[in-house]
Amino acid sequence: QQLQFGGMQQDTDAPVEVTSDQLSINQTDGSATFTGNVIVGQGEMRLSAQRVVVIYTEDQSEIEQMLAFGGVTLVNGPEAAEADEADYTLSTGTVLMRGNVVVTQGPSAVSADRMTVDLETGTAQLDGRVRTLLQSSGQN
Amino acid sequence: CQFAPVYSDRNDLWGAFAFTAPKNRLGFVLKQRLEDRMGQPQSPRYDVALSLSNSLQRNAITADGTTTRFKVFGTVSYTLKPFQTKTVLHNGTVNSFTSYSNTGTTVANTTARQDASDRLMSLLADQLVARLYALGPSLT
Amino acid sequence: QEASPDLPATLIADSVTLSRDNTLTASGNVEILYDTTRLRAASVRYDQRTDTLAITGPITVIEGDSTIILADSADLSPSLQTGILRGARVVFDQQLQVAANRLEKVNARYTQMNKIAASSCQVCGPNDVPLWQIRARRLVHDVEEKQLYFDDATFRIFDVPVFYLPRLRLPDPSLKRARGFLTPVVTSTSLLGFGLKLPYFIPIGDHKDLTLTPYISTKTRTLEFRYRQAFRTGRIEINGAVSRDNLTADDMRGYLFANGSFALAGDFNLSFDIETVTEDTYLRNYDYTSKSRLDSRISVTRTRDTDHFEANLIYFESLRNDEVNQTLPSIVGNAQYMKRVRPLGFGTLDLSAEVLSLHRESETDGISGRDVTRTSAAAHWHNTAVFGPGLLARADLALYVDHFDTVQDSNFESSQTRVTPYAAAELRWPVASTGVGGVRHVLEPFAQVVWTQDSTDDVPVEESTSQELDEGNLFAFNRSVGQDQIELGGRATLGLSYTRYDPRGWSIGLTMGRSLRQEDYGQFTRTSGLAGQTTDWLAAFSLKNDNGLSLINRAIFDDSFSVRRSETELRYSGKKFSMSSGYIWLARDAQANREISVSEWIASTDYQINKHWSTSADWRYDSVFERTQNAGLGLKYRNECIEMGLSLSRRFTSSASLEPDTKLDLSVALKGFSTGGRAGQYAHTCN
Repeated sequence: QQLQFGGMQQDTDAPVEVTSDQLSINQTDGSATFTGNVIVGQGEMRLSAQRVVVIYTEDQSEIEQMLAFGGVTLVNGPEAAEADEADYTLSTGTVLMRGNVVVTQGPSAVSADRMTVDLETGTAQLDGRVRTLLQSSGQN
Repeated sequence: CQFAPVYSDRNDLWGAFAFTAPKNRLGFVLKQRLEDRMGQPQSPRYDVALSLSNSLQRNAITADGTTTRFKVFGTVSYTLKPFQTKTVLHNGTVNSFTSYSNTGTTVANTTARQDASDRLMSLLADQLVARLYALGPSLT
Repeated sequence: QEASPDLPATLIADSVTLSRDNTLTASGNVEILYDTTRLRAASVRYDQRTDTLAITGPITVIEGDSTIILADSADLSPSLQTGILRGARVVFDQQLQVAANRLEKVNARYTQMNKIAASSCQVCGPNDVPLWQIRARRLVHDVEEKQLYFDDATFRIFDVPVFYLPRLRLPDPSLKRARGFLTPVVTSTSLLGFGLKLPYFIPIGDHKDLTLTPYISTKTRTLEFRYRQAFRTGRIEINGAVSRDNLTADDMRGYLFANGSFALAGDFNLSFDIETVTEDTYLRNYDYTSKSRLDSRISVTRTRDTDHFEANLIYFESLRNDEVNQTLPSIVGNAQYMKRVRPLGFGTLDLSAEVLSLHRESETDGISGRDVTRTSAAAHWHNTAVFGPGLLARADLALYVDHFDTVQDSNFESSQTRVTPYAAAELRWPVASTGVGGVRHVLEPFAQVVWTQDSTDDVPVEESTSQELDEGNLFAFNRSVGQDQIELGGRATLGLSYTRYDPRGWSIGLTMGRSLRQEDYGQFTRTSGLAGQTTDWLAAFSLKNDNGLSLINRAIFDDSFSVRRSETELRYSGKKFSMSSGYIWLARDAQANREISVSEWIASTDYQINKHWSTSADWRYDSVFERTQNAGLGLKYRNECIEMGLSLSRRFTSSASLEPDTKLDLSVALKGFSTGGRAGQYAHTCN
């Protein structure tokens, strides 16, 4: 079991599907707030949270940004990341996760205060007293 | 400064001290002399813990290197506490020496050394008694 | 023991980048923890596929609590147990430092370093050269055995190569009881010439060790040895030496001193010491002891709160050429028991019993051949009452019974019994006062009256052949040294003791006393202080303060102040300077076979000049013959990596059996290896 750090790559143009218990639309800025077991799906990636605010572009043609709150879990293939909050900016393809960030895959885990994932290059940048368990594969 | 008797009826020191000395001959002789001078404790009000160190010094060495006299040095360190408590009221040391002639036969020199050590314990006990007398008023 | 391989290593950093090619890059206060090893570095790149850490410095690796490795860069396994560190410097136990351009951690046990320079000397700045260093092609550190193995090592002093060793093994500083060489000593004495002592320490298990010290000089081939063994309830130590020299006719000479002590059941203690030598002048020639008579002894003792028991068997052997062993009591056995009881709670009763038996090999009649056994029993009751204005009155009654069995001395009956009753009364009046500034004065006048019979039968006196008087026996019933002689008749002893305690730490003490006898029984010599119907004055003075000064004098003088005896001790121990000096004056006294007065000065001083240098001196001067008896000087330099000692001593005595002797010792110890000892407080600092 190896930690595929790079597994975060993601096609940010794929269609986004959001399901939740409730939905309310904000007429003034056109944003939509999904609450209660919100699941956001895009290609292989799944993002679940208690509350997600979706912000559309000026012309309401596509999603500009999604702000997730209340314990966020981001799963992409074998890799999972948890945090208190997350901001997914589709135009730049970056996910910014904040608060008790934990990236796990099998026995290996990395924890930090903040993490920025660049979905185009597949790199994840963790900051703020990062702790990592280097699970050496048997031989030392 | 006028003198007042140490054993006035107000602060009866007689028999007030329980002495604990090392478990060897010198400790035994020291403790006996202290009890002779301060009374065997019936209901002691103070604990005096004693420790002992002594050493020999060669004196009066003749032309052919024979030692004809020895000095016996002794130091008694004491810790004064109220009976069966931990609070240290006073601690300190008393030290002195006695000497003996080393010009006799084997038995004579051995007895002389023993006698010098016993005398040293007796005079160190007397010095400690004077110290306890001096502390008198502060011990009610 | 090796850490279990599957234990994960923990990495902590300010920031970590996980990149697609399966690498993790950590930067900012990076720390990696694995078992007892901790690594700190600027940045670390962990490649998951190759399972290696590429670390860029400055790197600090702390292994356990004794080894620190500093390096510029490294490639290590996540467990930090294997890999290469470049530009490494290893510090063992905060003492020994090893610089190596390449350090390879082979496994958890072995570390190999190449092109090393090892030293425990402080180096201030790049161009400062350590006092000493060991350079080697390779150094292997065995962590388990705690040993350092050097290959192609050169020892350098101030970077000048001094000697080359193809292979060298030294214990790493954290090894306790390391086998190896202790401090070598270069020594030269006028008797044994110029030589070298090289002690080698061999630990045997945890409780035994053996130290062998070859001593080779121009005049002798000697092997000294010390063996020590600790048991659960005691320990033994054996010291000895064997020598071949041409100082005497014997081709081989030697000595053996063994001693030990054990705790037995029931609070008993057993102790023994054996002293034997093959030839009388050997011990003095090699300065192993200043004793002129050897005594081998075995003793059993027990002391409890109210009683004391001891039994000793002693064998004496004289080394002096002016006395014959056979005429001295060579075998002495004695047993003594002392018990204190409080009969019906009224007063104190001290019971004691003693047997002292001595044997002389010679069979001649009289003092040079007789064997005497004294069996004594004593009961001494005393009680003290406080009455009136704080007066202490004490009454004593005692009965001493001494039985003498004498063999081979026609001057005495073969068995005699002597019964000696005593009665005494003592009055003390301790008073005290508080003066200005809290100064306490304690004054205690005392008076004692002692009565015993004024005649006794003549018994062989073996023990009380010398006579002493001091504050310790001023009030004793029998002020002779031993129990075989009795101080006769009635007497009164008067005296005073005064002590002044100053809260600022000063104390002064003065005790004076003298005795007045019914009649002079002529038992004591002129200078004993106990002679005459009115004895001499005994005066004891002491002056002490809290920061180390202590002056004590005891003198015996007559009414016209002619001093019979005076002994003085002046001591001072400060932080940097300490001194102890003494003067002794014993007036001439033919009765005490002292034909010439004794007047001797002693002084010894220690002075810590600065953090590294300290000097010491000692001196003994006989002012009757106006001759220095012996004198010595010492110089010592200590810093964090070396301890050098130089001592010069000369004995000026000149007599048939003893020539003057000058001794010079030089010792050099490299600190930083476990046999060199720690040097914390002497480490020199860069300024």
